[in-house]
Amino acid sequence: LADADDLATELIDLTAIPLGELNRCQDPVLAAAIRRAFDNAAHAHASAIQDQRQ
Amino acid sequence: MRMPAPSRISDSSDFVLTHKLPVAALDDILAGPACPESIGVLAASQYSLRRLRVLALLDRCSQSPECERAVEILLDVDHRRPDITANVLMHPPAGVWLVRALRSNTELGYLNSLAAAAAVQAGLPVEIDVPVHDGFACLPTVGAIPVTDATVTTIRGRPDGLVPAIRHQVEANGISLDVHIEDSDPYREFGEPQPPQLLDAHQADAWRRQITDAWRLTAERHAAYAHELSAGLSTLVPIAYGRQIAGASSRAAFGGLALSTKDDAAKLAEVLVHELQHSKLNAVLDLLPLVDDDSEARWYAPWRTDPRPLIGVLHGIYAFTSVVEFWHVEREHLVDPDATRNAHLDFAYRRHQVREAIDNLGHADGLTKFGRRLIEAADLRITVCEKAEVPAGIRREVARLTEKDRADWLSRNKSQLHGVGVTVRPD
Repeated sequence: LADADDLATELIDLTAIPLGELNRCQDPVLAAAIRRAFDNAAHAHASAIQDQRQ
Repeated sequence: MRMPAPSRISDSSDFVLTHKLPVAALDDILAGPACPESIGVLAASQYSLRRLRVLALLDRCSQSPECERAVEILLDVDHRRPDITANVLMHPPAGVWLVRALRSNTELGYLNSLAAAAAVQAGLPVEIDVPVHDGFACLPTVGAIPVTDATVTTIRGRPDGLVPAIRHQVEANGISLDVHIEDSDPYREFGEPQPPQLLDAHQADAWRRQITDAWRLTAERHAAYAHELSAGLSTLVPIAYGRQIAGASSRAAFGGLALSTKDDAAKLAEVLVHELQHSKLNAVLDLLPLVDDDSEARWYAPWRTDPRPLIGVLHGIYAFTSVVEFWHVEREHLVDPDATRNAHLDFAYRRHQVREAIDNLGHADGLTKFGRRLIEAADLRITVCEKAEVPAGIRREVARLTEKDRADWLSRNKSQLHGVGVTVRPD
């Protein structure tokens, strides 16, 4: 890895776009990401508690 | 630190961009206490993930008339006051609920609670029904409303009888902490919905004192860790009295941790430092893979009694390396003989465990290049700590404990050594 690099990710930047606009959006990339969100949420739930020690 | 410009996904997407993680930020995070800018990169990506999950939920809710009002309010507040939506959606229990709701398509009433909380924060005179559980209606980040003999209550503006959410702000050494002490949200413990356990004034004061003492210690002796906690920690969940949980965190709840009361400020500070490492690493994992998904091997983690997946061992290495660094510094500040001895022991014991785990993963083939980078960074950090001396009696005690840990682990897990790919470092 070169120090000057930015590592690309698949996570869409939704921080600055109003939810209403996003909710009406027909963008195929966003639609695919929403479909993946269902699958990822199932996985995230399975690993919910990360660290719990007596 | 330079903030990365998001990249455009494709020509067919007019405004859809993706997050980037600068290598400098990744290295900063892997090197231990991260600067506020690096925490900001993680927090922004976590907010996008929350919003993506909200959109997924809205997609599902479009068929549910009972969600209609909540969706309308949430979108309205997001349009008028996006800062308030961010505040509500980034509340750690909201992240837990989103994952549960997407997974099971149940518990959708909490969407009304979130919408009502956002509306109350924004001062909008809206009317919406919210669910009541165990005698309380929860408005996340706002507080709880006692309600008798009802399963639903209607919110119209700021409700009468509201028990406000507890916030605690403290500053030491020029570094501030501003956290919720969360005692009412049903998703605060990261799993199944829990009944509220509202702290009385005495209990709330006790938590405030503990947090203040721990914060002073952290800010004065471990300033770099205090800076990252200041930027990354948003919510502390007191575990119900009588249950001793050292600390817990969740991939779905960035910035939140749950814990029992602690004997002293150093123990609490250690848990704050420890659990935030999990929060950071979980956020990194939502951006980059550290292990190959299809790896089914189970590994020896010296701090656990059960065989762990590779990602679990990485989590432990990363979190306990910070714990080692914490005690490395902390033991120099103590005067009480028992506390000093315990600090030496915590330092040397965890140091040995992390070293053992790092060496054990030397031949792991399920790590990605990012996972290997984490191991390399932890190796460097532990090597620095290994130059520090500990009393001979502590060294002997650590040798005894670690030998026993390994023997107990092998005995306990003998039946699993075949078939699930348990991997231990050959002695």
